[in-house]
Amino acid sequence: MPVTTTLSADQKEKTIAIDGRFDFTAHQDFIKAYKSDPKGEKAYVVDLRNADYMDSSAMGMLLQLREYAAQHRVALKNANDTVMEVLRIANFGKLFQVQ
Amino acid sequence: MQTAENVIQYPLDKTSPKVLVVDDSRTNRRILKTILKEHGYRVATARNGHEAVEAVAVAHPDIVLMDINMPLMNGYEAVRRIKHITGKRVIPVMFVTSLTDDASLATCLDAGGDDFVTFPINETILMARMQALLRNRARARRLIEQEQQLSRYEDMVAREQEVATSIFRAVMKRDDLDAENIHYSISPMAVFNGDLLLGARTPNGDLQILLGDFTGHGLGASIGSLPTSEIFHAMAAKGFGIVDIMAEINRRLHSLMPTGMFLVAAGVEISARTGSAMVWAGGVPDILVRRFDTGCIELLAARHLPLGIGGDELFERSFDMLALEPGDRLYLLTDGVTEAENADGEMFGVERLKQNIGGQADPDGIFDRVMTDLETFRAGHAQNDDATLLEYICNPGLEHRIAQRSRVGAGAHRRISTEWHIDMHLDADALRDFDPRPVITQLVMDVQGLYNHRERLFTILAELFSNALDHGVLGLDSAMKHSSESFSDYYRLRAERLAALADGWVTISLNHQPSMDGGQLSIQISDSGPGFDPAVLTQATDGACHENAELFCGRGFSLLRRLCDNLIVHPPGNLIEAAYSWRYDTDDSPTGAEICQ
Repeated sequence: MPVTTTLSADQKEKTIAIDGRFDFTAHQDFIKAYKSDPKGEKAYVVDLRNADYMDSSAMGMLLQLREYAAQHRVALKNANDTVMEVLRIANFGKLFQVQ
Repeated sequence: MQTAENVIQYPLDKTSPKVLVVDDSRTNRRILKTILKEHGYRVATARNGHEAVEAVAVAHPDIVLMDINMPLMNGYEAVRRIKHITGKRVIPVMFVTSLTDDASLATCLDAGGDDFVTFPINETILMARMQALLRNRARARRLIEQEQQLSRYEDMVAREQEVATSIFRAVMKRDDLDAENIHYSISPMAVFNGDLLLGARTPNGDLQILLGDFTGHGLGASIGSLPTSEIFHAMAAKGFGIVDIMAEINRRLHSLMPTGMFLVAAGVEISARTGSAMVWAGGVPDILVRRFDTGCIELLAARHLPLGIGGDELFERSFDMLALEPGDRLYLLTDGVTEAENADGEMFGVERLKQNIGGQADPDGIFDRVMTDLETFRAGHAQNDDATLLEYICNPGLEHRIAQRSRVGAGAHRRISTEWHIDMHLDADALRDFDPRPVITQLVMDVQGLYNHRERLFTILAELFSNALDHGVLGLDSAMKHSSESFSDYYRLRAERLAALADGWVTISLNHQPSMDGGQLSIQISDSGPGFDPAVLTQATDGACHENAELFCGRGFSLLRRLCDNLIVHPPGNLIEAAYSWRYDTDDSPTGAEICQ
């Protein structure tokens, strides 16, 4: 599975881990990963440790997740240099907690 | 298995398959006709090849049973002709013959026949083979029908793309980029890649450029370029600054586009007077500056989010000022340049671009060298042909000449200094829905034509108005903006209070008086609030900000003090008066770098 999820002990935070290319091919799986949660109830962490590439459609998916999380935080963590560069250029640090 | 018994149940109606029996022997025709009718087929007959060819055109059979040796035209020739004229209707032909030698039978198939049976007729075999041919025919016709649909669809898409391309071309005006100090390359089909390049001259003669790239590909991604271009050109023509233009595009795209779609874009405004460039960049690859004297390259990273992600609350007005000397070169690009791939899947990259641009090699050849190198690099990999690159060469003399021409063309942008007065009163409902800042700035431009002062006047108005609204009417504590934790709370609270605002008002009065060599604009803003903390005021007046008050001072009053000739706060602090003077020969006014926030 290119997208896997784990839930924190208190059920309040979901971690979505991406494996491989983070682009439109991950779209269905990525949406499935959070659409089962009620809207605006959880915080999310997107774990990019195993994501080796990210394109603008993936950025669009992150924005949709951010909208879905509403007032809860969305954090992006463990991005490799390539992915980090994409996030830097887009200034996504202004919208997401980039760790 | 198909048996004679179940085939016979075919009802004999217009939907039954029609068989054309071709035989010069009356006996054979009768035998075949009887068998076929028993099995539910409709039957037409012909006595030789010549009649057969005519009958095919008239009777529209679904299948032909063909004898070989006949007078006038034999079976082989008839098949060739029938196949030729029926083409895509796909009419199978089965030879029914008394010839049994291999050569004759092989010729049946060579001539275009689909199968053969030999006399004496085995009824079961004949029926089974006919059924098989008819099944194949149905399949082949479905396939042909689908191919035709596909080809019709492709034609339709091609036509629609042509129409769309011509509309987009008409909207994507960039005549103002056709100057000897500007070179650019954008794919002719760029509209469907989402790349966007626009250029315009302000009434002031300044050059404004927007280079952008929508997320995604195809028509969907490029729809947003229509409003973007309209806004860009309309506002540039009115003399709006590049930051105002980017703000408006952001606002419109945010309301138009679904979440997840956005425009990475750089807006550049090159002053015809100083040659310096004001850059607002959101999400674009680093902008490159090549210095003329050293050949060294400086990178300018985008500071902002792409456009369209959020509304005004996410839009930041800060920009970069690039001081350009004659001969300095500015390069704007989309990621299609750095991410162009070669056959091995490697990317072109920033380093290779820098090597092309930097150094001492003939600078006038840089643009062509980059494009050639890019072409060579991605040879045979043309599908990622969505790279847009623009080179701007600083040439103040040329800019000045173009600006003068464009000023003459734009008519009198400079107006005689006159006496005028504007009052605007905004009550709670108006405050909720309406931002007076651009409108008032535009009014001043329309009445007095102070295009060189636009950014400064806007900033003064913005500071005065947000002070009146946020702290006066909404009673927000400016201290909340000091820490990053409460910063977002501040804007949340602001939105809540504004939405719930029942009463309260802000009044804005503008008074313009001509002076000896220009004019003075006095801006008064009063609000319904109780006034504000005199302690903060004292700090600001002293110019001595405490460390933790720096944000407030930096963003607020100290900025106003620098921009205005005079700033008076009338007790108890809900009436502020700012005076701003201008002179006719303000072509040497400051560049605006000082108002970077």
